[in-house]
Order: sequence, then C-alpha cells, then structure tokens
Amino acid sequence: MLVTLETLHTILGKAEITEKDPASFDPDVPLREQGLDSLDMATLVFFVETELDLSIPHQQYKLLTSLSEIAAAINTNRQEWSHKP
Amino acid sequence: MTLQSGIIGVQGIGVHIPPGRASNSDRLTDFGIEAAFLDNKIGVQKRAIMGDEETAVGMCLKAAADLVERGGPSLDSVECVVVVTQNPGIQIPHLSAQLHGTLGLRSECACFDVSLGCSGYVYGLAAIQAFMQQNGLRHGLLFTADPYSSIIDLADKNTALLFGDAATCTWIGPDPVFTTGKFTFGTMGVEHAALTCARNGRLFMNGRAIFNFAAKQVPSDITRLLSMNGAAIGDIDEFIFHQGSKYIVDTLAKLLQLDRTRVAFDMTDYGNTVSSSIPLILAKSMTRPENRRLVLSGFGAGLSWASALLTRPNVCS
Repeated sequence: MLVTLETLHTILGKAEITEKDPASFDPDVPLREQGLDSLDMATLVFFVETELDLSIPHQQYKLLTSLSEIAAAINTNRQEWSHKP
Repeated sequence: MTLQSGIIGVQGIGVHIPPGRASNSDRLTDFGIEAAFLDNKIGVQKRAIMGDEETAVGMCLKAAADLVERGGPSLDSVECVVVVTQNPGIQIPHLSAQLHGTLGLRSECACFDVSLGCSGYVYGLAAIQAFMQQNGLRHGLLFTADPYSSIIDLADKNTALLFGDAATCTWIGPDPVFTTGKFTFGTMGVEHAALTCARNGRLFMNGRAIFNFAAKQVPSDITRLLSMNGAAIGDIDEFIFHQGSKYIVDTLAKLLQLDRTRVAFDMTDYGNTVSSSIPLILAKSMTRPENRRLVLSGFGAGLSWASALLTRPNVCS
C-alpha cells in the first residue's frame, strides 16, 4: 500500500512535535523551513519508522527534507526498508 | 567457602561537580542555534569543566571526600572499589588502583574498572553488588568519572554543547537506603560506530542514530524491567533517566506516557556527565522519603543500555 501525504500528516500529529495543524504543512517545502528543527525531524522519522514498521538508512535519512520526499522514498524503497518478510 | 547473603544496597552517594563552567549561550552564533533550542531541546546552559590541573582520579577523590562528609563509611572498612570510566586519564594502572593507593585503603580490597559510558552506573551497580554478595563483602565504593572535556571537539555542533565533567562515589553497604531488584541489560553492537572516538581521538556522535536507539530501546526496556520485578509504572515515584539531553528525557517521558513531575531532569547547570548523570540525581532523590521506588535507566556508547528498580527496604512489593 502506498504511503500518502495523509498518512504522513497523521504520523506528524502523533509525533507531537508541532502545534501547527499537520495538514497545513506544504508537502514540497523542506520541513526545516516550516518550523521543525533537527530533533523534530529525527522524531518525525522515528515515528514514521515505528508506525510503518520499517528502518530508513542513515544515508537516506539525510536526503529527506520534505513530506513529499519522505513519501516518495518510502514508496520506492519500502520492500527493502520493511521489517516484514 | 562461606558465602554471606546479607542484604546490601545503596547506602550513600558523594558527588563532585567541578566549579569551572563554560557557557553555551556564548556559542549560539557559532552554531546558528536559537536560544529557544538551547533551552527547550538541549537543556544545558553551562557545562562543568574540570580545571587544567584536575584529573579523573582527582575528581573521584573529591566525590569520596563528599561521601565521607555526608557520613560515609570508614575507609578502613572498604573491601571493594569499582570505577566506571572510559577516560581515566592514564591507561595503566586502572583508576581504581590509583584511588586505592591515594585513599590508603586496606590491602584486602578488590579493585577493578568497568569500561562503559552512559549505561555504566547501572551496570556498575549490578556488578559491584553481585561481586560483593558472592564474596561476602560488606562495604564497597562505586565511582563514576568520565571527563569528556578531554575528548570533545569544540567545533562539533553535535557534541560541543552537551557534555560536562563530574564524578560520583556510591557507597554499597549493609544498611542500605535502596536495594535493587532484577536488572535489565542490552547491547546493540551493530551500531557501535554511532558514538565513538575511533576516528581522531575526538568524540563523534551520530545524533539521529543515538536518538533512534534510545527512543526504541529504553521504553521497551523499562516495560520489561517493571514486568520482571512485578511492578507497574504507577508504582514508581521517580524515573531517573540518563541525562543525554532535555529532548531525550522529554521524549522518553512522552513515549512511556509518564507524569512529567515524576521524571527527573537536572543537567541545566552542568551538562551531560555520562555515567555520573544518574548518581548525581540519585544523591538528591534519596534524601526525599517520599521517593520509595525509583527506576534508573542508562543508555549510550556501545550502544548499550541497562535499567534497575530501586526500592527502600521497608517498602512491601
């Protein structure tokens, strides 16, 4: 199943790292430019990994700056990153 | 061989935090960091820095002197000394032997060091108590001293604002304030390079890897610890996590859904003191009678973690 922006908005809400409405984040603008800091980003990706049961490699993590990039990277690599057989 | 199985536990703690301080607010511009990030995420305003003439052994001696001042054991009675450190100053001999000599302890005294970082105090508690109980020893000293100021790259944004120097000395004795239940331990060696001095003798930390490690391992370890000891979160009066940063302490409280008032935070004035962070807080916590059951959890280099449940001896399980 493809990861959608709605899925990431839901996870963003669960992570409790922003007081903004998760749906108000522009998916194509780097999250760091929308008020998140480096620790917020680490937390968001931690929640993404936990909720979707996968591990995003450290090298790939550095390239993920926006919600669109996170969704696209997961949809491309999900089988490789997934914990499920 | 006669074994003595009498109860021993944490009977007192002496501490030493060097008076020297380095201000983090002076470095905000260097790293492009806002004051709010320093306050709310890092949580360290000043880092304790030992003086040019100070050493790990010197800090330990001051922590021992503090313990004696607080009514600690007669040094003549000490039969075991364990030091947790990865920065002893000199490699040979072991720091515990240097302390043994300087403190003038009896010759019938076991001394050994434990090479662990931020999980080291909890490991050390388990090791010294098991060693003492197995060998019928009544009085021991567990030291922590890991002066990271000697290995920090002050230009490294990931580590330069976090770590401070300190030492502690925990008296393990037969009339304890706290006894320990079953411990939990873990290691994720596949990620050992995430926190290392292997590259140039200076500390390297992959912040995201360390955050992920702590957020994944510690909450499940606390759950396992409580289950093993027949306790529930609601039974615990205070959670003392290793003070890696304010953000990691806050995150662990959030993930475990803990009442924030029961989660200790104390590093603002001196920083992340590695294996000393837990006993620095425990020294204060044990003076409050309302703190009857405590959970300690240390996590860091290795990557390694350990947790313990501490209970006042008069508290029924």
